[in-house]
Amino acid sequence: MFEVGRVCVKIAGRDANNYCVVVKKLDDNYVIIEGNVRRRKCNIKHLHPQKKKLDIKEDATYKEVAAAFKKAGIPVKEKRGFKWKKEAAAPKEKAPREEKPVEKPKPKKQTEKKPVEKKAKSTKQKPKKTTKATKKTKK
Amino acid sequence: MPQGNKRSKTFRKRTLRTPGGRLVVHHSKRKHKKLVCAKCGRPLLGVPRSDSLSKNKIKKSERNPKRPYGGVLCSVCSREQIKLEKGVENV
Repeated sequence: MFEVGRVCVKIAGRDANNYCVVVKKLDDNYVIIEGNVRRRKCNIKHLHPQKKKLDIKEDATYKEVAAAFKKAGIPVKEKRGFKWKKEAAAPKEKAPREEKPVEKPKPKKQTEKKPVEKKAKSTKQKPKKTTKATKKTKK
Repeated sequence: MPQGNKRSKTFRKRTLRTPGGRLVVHHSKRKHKKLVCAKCGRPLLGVPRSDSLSKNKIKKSERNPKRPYGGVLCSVCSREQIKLEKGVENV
């Protein structure tokens, strides 16, 4: 029942309620599991087998298991600290640039500087403030 | 006479004899009941019998089991619950 590639649900421990797959069979009672759980030795009493079976080889890595999970339509939880290596993309062929005809620089026009006219001082004087004393005198 | 609020049954009373030979009554809060499984009613293991105030003093890892439904369902019932959720697909 618990052969290599069998999808199971873990039902005990802190990884419970997560999908995993049997990677290696140790004996009648113990297997090694991998997937949305920590890779570990596990008692088969703590596993609930499912109908699905994945095409993976024995001792498959997490990367292979995750790829098989995606194929089977099982959601994959990213492991803490695991980084997917980016595949090197093929270098793009650059199209040759079309050379633009070089234009001769136009001679700059010599502009005469206009003398800045100084603003004439305003001749208007502010009206002087009337003090109380002057008001009194007016009265 | 004890304080008015301490005359209720929420407090546990202990009679102690002092070194001078006097009998005194000490009032202390009662311990909480054991938590039980919500499905079968069995007492839960790995959950401390403490009130909310003293629960803050305990480490987070010691408060309740870290599996799904930890502190609500017992281990047997949580296994059955997960099997129900994921579908009973015995090969």
